[in-house]
Amino acid sequence: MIDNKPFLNKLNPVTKLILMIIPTVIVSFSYDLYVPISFFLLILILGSILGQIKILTLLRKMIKFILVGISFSFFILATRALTNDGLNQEIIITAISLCFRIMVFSLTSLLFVLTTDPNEFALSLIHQLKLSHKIVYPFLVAYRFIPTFQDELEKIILAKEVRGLSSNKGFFSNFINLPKYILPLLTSAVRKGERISMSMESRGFGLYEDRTYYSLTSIKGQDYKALIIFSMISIFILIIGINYGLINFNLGLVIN
Amino acid sequence: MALKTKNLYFTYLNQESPVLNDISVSFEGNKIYLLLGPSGGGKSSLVNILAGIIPNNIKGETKGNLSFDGKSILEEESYERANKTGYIMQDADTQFCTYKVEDELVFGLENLKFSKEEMEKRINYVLDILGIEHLRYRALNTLSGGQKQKIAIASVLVLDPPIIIFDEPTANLDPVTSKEIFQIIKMLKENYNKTIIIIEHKLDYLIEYVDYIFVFSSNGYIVNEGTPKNVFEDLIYSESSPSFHYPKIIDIWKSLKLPYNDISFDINEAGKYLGKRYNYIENSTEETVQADQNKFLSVSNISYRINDKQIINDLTFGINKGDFLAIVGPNGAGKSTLGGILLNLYKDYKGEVLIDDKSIKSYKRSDLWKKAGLVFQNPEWQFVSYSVKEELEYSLKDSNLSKEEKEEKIDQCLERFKLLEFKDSNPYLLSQGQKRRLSVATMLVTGQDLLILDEPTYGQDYDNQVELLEYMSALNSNGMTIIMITHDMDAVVKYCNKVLILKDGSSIYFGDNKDLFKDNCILKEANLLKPIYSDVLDKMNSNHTKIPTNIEGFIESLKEKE
Repeated sequence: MIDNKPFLNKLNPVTKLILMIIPTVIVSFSYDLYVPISFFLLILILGSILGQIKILTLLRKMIKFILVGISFSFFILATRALTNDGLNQEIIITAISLCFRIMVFSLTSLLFVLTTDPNEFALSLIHQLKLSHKIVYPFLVAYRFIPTFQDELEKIILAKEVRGLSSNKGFFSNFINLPKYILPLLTSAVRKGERISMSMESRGFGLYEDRTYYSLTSIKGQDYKALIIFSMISIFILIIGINYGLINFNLGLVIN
Repeated sequence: MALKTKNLYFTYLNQESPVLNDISVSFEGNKIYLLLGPSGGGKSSLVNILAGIIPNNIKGETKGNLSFDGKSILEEESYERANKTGYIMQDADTQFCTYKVEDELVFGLENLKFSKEEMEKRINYVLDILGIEHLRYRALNTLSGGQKQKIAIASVLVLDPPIIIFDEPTANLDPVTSKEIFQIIKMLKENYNKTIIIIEHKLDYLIEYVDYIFVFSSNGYIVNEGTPKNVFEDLIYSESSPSFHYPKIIDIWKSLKLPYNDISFDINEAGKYLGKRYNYIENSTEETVQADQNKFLSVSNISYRINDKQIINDLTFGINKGDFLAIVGPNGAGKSTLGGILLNLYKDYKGEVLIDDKSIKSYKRSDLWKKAGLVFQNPEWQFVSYSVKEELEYSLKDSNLSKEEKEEKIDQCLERFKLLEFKDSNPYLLSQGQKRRLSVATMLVTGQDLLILDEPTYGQDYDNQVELLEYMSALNSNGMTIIMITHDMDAVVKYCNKVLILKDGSSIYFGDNKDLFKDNCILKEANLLKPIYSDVLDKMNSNHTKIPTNIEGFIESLKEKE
């Protein structure tokens, strides 16, 4: 097979995990506009090029998170405006900064999910992070069923609707009725879980403490390269920011 | 290599009576063993014991013994048996634990610590004998139902167990694909020396390969065993029908009063035999074509897409009051979506649906659902309360009846569906058959004219299936219009009068079910099989242009040769 996968897909999942953690940590401590916005743009552009995904596609897929970020910022501004504190420039900047922070988190997670084969991720957790396969595989299997359950939930909502139980009668009634949607989903999850573990065990899962692997994941030259280059770019961004006084780091809680 | 049980009993935890009683069976050599009997009769419990799931994972009390090659293995965990017994269940999707075909195939091999070279060898070998090399690098979720089941078989076969257990392997598959799976099973027995143990309901195309049958009673005893010919002999002379599926060739023998000794489960042989004795004289009376009356339901040019996928594509058809329409077609053809559209569950479709000459969009939704009900594939999805009685009360919540009238109506309805004794039970705790009856009852208590059923016989045992279909048929005779989404062609032939075949969202056939089997191309395109008697008829070498709609019609048209 010719390996023509995008660069991000070829990276070891553990490398990508570290690449995710670097901007997450940096952005978490910043309350200015410069750091989260520049990291957001940097990751958006790098992710689009190296993962061969259109920028618009990425933005469309994270639309929900963008909305969460915006409403979160508005919430902060609104509570400040309504209390005695009032609004000032500092709090507006902080709110926008928080919004971009959420967007950086969701963008990195999105890129990770879009470019990572779950099986490969599981293997790299076993090989590189030395986690036990007996822990990793059950999670891998559970993850496999997420789309199935989404699909099932959609059908359950329609099925109830035909009975006259509508799902859009407001938050309170939805909350009361929640168990009626969850219960059938739960019974189906238990049944599926039982079956899959039967199937795994009957194929020898758990027989030995260890197992062999058909394909191995390893940390290669490209992984080191990616880590070094990305760290350097991050430092570069920070140095520019410090030089021009654009950075406001705070290790404590900001809204006090 | 033999797998044997001796005086085996099993009682599930917290239950009083054993589900298996005094079972002494032996499975060995390259043979296919079929387990028959009513559901709850212990077939699945037995195969779970053989595969090591019971008593290690599912708890209960066992008595007696299970041995492999003379060595007792009852206490052996299921993972310790991976190289003795392979286990394949009905829903391939819930057996996969990875995302790609290759990963799934190596899963068992990795657990048993094979070297990479050995894995490579075994994968290539198994892909080759199943003829599925081209699927090796595919993602599992892009495969069809039949392909998935083949991968499930392959993922067990790489471990090379001498015994392979199948628990209803074709339950979710269309007729043609089911036949393919049976061919594979036969090949495993004949060419690869496997011992096969199988629970299966679709017997017409499997029975000719079966060597030995065990028949279970509903209380978990083995009441009959032997070759197919021996086991089914009792049936042919008994007046009552059995409570399990049996090959339909027996019905032909029974109605023609042919000597049982001559019976053959091989369709070819049976056809030749009948051809020697009978001429097939076609009934020449033309059926009167019913003029199109006022259509009760009329669908014109509807199209529906979700994201970029065309689910329904320019579909037009109409049915009259009192019709019993079957919607068939491969998985993913858009059948369930169509059911939803007819009840106005999806709004952004193009085209028009009229019920009683009125667009469904002009009905108030709650009014529409008083006219037409939809029973979903899984009855649990539709439960809205925590007792059987409340379920029906909920359906009547908008009616103008007084409290007493409602009570009376609910009791009547529960009685009709044989649920009265469970009035206060939790719907989730009913049996599969009871759940299904309840879901139908909740749809009918408000007096609907149209009932849409999405795979009503799915996951039901034989008794329940027959009962439900008979009940639907009775409702239909009383004037109710019914639309049934199904894979079960026998039911289509027996109960329905109109058929719509969907493929990729388009209609490839709509019309009378009498004409359906004329066209081999359509059947092939839709992965459907003719009913067994028409296969027999083909083998009789008679010149016929029409295929009788049911087995009775077929029998009537046979005239003994001089």
